[in-house]
Order: sequence, then C-alpha cells, then structure tokens
Amino acid sequence: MPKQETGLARTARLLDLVPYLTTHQGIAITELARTFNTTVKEITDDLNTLWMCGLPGYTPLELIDLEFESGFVSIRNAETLAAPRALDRAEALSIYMGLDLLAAELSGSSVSLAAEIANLQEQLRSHLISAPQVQIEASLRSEFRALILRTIRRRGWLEITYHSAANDLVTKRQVAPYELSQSGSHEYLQGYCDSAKAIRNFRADRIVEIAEIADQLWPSNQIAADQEAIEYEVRIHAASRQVREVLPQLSADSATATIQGFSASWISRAILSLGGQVEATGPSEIRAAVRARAKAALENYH
Amino acid sequence: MSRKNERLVNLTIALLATKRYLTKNEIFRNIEGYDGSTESKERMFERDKDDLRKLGIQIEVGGLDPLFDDEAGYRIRPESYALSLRNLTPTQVTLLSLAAQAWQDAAFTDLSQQALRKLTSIGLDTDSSQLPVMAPKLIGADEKLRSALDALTSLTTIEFDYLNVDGIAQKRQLQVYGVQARKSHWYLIGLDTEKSAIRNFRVDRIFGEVSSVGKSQSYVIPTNFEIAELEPAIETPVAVLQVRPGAGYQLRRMATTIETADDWDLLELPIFDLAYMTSLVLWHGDDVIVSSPLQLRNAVFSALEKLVAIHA
Repeated sequence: MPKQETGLARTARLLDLVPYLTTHQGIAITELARTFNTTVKEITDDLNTLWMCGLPGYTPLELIDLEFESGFVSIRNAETLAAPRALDRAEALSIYMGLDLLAAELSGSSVSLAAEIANLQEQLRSHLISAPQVQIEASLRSEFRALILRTIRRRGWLEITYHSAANDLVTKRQVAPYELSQSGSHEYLQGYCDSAKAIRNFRADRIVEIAEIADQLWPSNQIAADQEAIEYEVRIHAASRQVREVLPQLSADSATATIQGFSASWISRAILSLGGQVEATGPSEIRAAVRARAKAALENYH
Repeated sequence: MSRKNERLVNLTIALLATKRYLTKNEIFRNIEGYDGSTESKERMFERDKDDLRKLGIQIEVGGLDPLFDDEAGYRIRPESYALSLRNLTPTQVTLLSLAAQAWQDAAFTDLSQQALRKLTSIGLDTDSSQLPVMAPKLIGADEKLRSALDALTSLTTIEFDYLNVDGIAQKRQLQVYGVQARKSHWYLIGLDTEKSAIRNFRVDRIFGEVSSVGKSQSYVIPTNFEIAELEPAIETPVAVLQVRPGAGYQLRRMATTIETADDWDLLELPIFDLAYMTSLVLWHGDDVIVSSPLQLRNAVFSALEKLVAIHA
C-alpha cells in the first residue's frame, strides 16, 4: 500500500535521486518517475528543487547541474551526494529476509550461490543494530513458481505431481494454469485440470514436481468449477483454536453450523482429525462415514 | 515544504563535504535556508538534525577546540552515509534484486524497492546467467507482519490479541527478537514480557491489529539469542507408526526412517507437537496405527473412542 508521503520521504527521495541519476545519465523522466514509484509531476518538482541545491556559496559553480528539459535527465556537479545512501535497518531487514527466502527456494541446489547469499547476508548484518534472527522456509521452489508464471503467460500446459491430502494420493495431472494466488497463509495454483475436466485449485506446497508439456491446446471449452458443494452440519463440542483453523467458516459463538465442503473424503478426515471436538450431525452419509472411519481405525487397536 | 526539503539537502551536502566540524554559526551563515531570529534558527536546526537522523543519517558532533570557545561542531562522515556493500559481483547484484522482488505485493514492498533503488544506484552490472530462473515470493506477509517487522527494526514492544489453544483471544505483549516462516506460516519469536519467557506466536493467530507500546529502542536482543536453538531438535520424542503401504504421503515426507513390509510399513518421525501429531494420525484413519509412544497412542485411541461415541 502506498502510504501518504511525508515531507521526510520527499527529502529521502531527493537524496536518493542524485546517486541514481549519476549512474543512469540520460534516463527518461517517465521512467524515473516509475522507478521511484511516483508521478512525473512530483519528479519534476524534485528535479526543480535539487537544481537549487549544492555546496555553500550557491553560485553555478557550487550548485547541482541538472538538464531535463528534453524529457531526459542528466546530472553534473553532484559528487558530494553521488554515493548511494546506506540502507536503513528496515531496508536491510527486507533484503536480508528476501535473501533468506532465496536460499530456501534454491534448497541447496547450488553451493556457490548459497555461499554468495551467505556473504551478502553477512555484509547486511552490519546494517542491523542487533542481528535479528530470521529463518524462512519456502512454500514452493522458486523454479517451480517461475515455470508456472511463464506457462500462465504463454497459455501452456504443465504436468504437476500433486499430493491430495483428502485422498492421501500422489497423482500426476495435466493442468492449464490460470492463476497463482494467495489466500490466507497459502499459495494456490488455479487451473483447468485435464483429468478432472474442470477447474481445480492446487495448494502450492503440496506440489511435488512440475514439468512443462509441449504443444497441448489451451482448453477452449473451459468447464466452470463443477465441484459440487456438499453441505454438512456440525455441532461444536469445543471451540478450540484448532477447530477454528480447520473450519474457518465457523461463526464465533454458535454451537451448531452448516458448512460447505467440496469433498466427502476431506470432510470426514477433517472431522476425524479434530478428535471429537466437532461432531458431524448431517447429512447421514457424512455422519456414517465419520463413524465408519473412526470405528475402522479403532479396530486396529483391538 | 519544498524550502525545508531544499534546506535539508543543502545541510546534508555541506556536512558531507566538510573535512572539519562546522559550527552552528558557520552553518547559519553559509547554508541557505536558515533565516529569522537566532532562536528560530536554533529551533530549525534542532528539527533538521532530528529529521536527518530519522532518515538514518548519522550526524557526528565534536571538534571542541580548547583554544576557542567550546562551541560544538557537526559533520557527516561519508563512510557512514554511503552504502557499504562492497565488491559486489554481478551475480550478487542479481541476487539482491531478486531478494527485493520477493516482497512484491507483500508487507515490505516499499522498503525493499527503496533498498533496491539504492543498490542499483551503485551502477553495477547484473548477471543472471549463474542463476536458475527464479520468481521468489514471500507468501502471507501481511500488515500484521509489517507491524512486527517495524517493531523489530525499531526495537519497540508490541501488543496484540492472540488466540490461545482454547480459541480465546488474550492480550499479549512481546519484544520481537526474530521472525520465522515455517510450514507456510509466519512466526514471531521474542520475549513475552508478562511471562518473562521466550515464546513464539503464529502471525495469523493474531486477532485484530498489532499496536506498539512505549518508545522505540526500548529493549535489546540478547546477543546469545538463536532461533535455531528453539528448534526442539535434541530431545524430540520419536513416534513409531505403522502405515499402510501406499498411504500416508505426508507422514512419509516427515519420516526419518521408513522400513517397508508387506502389510504395514514402519515409520519413525519426530514429534514436535503432540496435539499436531495426534490430529495428523487421526486424519489418516485406519491407514495408521501408533506403536509408540504410549502418550500418542492413548491420545489417538481416546479421540477415536470419543468420535465413535458422539457419532453413534
């Protein structure tokens, strides 16, 4: 979210413009505005302000010399500010965490890159007052994400090896990916699944392997998400945090609820995993399935 | 506003360029923008110093000359002002820019972009030939995480409502020491000031907003603090599970050893959290039998009895 710009943010931008222009002589004003995430008018105001700045004396000899009437910016006589400013702690932390993610997403595939990342993190640590501890685990390998995004752009197909928790099966499916999106803490791949002949959602962290498929036609007749919602009723015996997390649709203080699910197998496994904190009261098939599963599991211990 | 910005830039330039300390009088006399009475100039200068410090610019005070009156002088050391990442290889520049991209649409977007602009201002070449095609992304990094990270960088205590295991929101105060992204969730680790103990909190279990309490720089992170040590790696109890061949994919991924047999495979896996392991075993229904420990076996057994009883 872009925040309301404070005067100080403007000062920071003025200071940061100088080194950027120094190494990007002749950059178009429009591009400069984009890079600094602001408007051409704001950037032009900035340039007009900088033009009045310089060393004490403030004669043309001391002032920063800017040329931007042509729509392209060049800068001279700004050596004092030419070095980019040090990263502040928050900036250093953001890069530090990003590097941590890179290391995790590379997951040990390259020793030399891991060493380069470690070296950078070591250098960044000096920007952080007391080295804060960061540890990031990747939810999807970076190469996979790059491949998915590329395939979405060129409307291609992927063969994904996927673990479905509801069926506890690992299967290969051919998918035309539409979108990679975030919902809550998870990332999802949405696409047309050729095995199901319908649009399906796949949780990114359950994707085991991805490969590109060449020359398969983009599904022209996309059947909408046809997964029939199954409505089921539950009674809450203990409104614990776990219950709320497994069934986020539950309202806060009601002891009973009607919920929609998409797979009978998922629903009964979910109720089972809650170990009696939630009771499936209907429909009778779901209730019977929960009972049957629990009974069968209990048999194992007799 | 523009005049003030101009003055701040001019002040920065003058303090950076000087080889010796500049006294306040020299500053008022030579740097454009200081007008009015002596008091108003003084006030202006105090505010300007504060502002520059807020931008992370360190103003050094010193140069008391015993031969003259002891008026303090000011300067900014170029080596503290400038970015100190040195000898970056083109591959490293690419890595830094990928690291900044990871925050796209996430909590730290603006900061990482600002950092990236500074880094690209060095004017170094990038080289991505040594890298696989990557699209890193930090998932689930929302406003709450941003507040916590701001608190971590400014060392400000935070307060929030946290959902406990019974599903009840409780007010907690935390001095954030570190953050962790594990199993698709963000965790804050730090000192729970009321309990006086190190605790971790899952960010999505925070209810409502994260607010700051008191001033910045109000605590220090103990130098011996290590997230890695919080991992219950050493004395983790081990679960021994019998799993039907072909079933229990997730359990197999977590397992440290797998012994295959005809009817049941034997898996050993660490129990980081008994409640989590219990529900994971339950999820798998009759495909899994707990052999040991007894505690897990009993937890699963009584949960199953209860399930059968309430669904009778």
